[in-house]
Amino acid sequence: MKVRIDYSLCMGDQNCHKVCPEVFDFDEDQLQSRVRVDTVPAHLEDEVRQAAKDCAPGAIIVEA
Amino acid sequence: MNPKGVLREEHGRIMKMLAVLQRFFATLADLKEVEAQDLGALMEFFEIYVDRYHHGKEEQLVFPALSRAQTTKIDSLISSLIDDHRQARMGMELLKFNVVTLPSCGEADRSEFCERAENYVDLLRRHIRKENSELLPLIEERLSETERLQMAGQFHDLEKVILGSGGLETFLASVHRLSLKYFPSRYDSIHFT
Repeated sequence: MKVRIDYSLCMGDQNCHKVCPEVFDFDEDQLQSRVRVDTVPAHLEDEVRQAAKDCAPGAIIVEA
Repeated sequence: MNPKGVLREEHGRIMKMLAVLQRFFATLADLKEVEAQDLGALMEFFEIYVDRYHHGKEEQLVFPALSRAQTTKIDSLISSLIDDHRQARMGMELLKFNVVTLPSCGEADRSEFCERAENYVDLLRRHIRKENSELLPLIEERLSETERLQMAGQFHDLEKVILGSGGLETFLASVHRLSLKYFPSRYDSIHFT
């Protein structure tokens, strides 16, 4: 699984970072999230899907 | 829902519509009737939902509640956010002026219109990110549970006054319709709110 962020939509509320800090980092300067991994570890896929579902503007794009 | 959650959801809808506005102007050529209707819906969303409702809620309820803490840092943040609201209102007035003349204006005027739209989008995006990272956490840190409950009730009352009965649902439908139309591959039922 791969995941990326649409930065036109990311609103910097850090929800994804709270849900899955291993995959999502937070850029304090740009006030936006960053993806830390090229491929999502299998044991974190559910958290990443949850983060995508919880993202209010729909900025997280999950690619199988 | 608690006030922080409400504002967070509203920020999400606003970010979607900012993306729609940006996509709309990036692909604007000859303004057809259906696109003129979409533009009207976008302007109405930003003027009423964003400014009168969402910014009004913050200015009338959230900022005064947090100002009671009387700290320099909070006052400085609120002052900065109010200034953003003011600049956004000015930006909206410029856009509204252009919208009236858009169907008959030339390339240079269209270009100016697009530039004003981009400026408005950039301003609101920065503003929302600032609020999400600095303002929303303060609602939980500085207000008691009683105060948050009271604020949630006041949010509900203000919604009825500003948007009227069924008004919120109308705007949510607008967000859904325009998001799907201008980003058909991106949005599905999961992201509709």
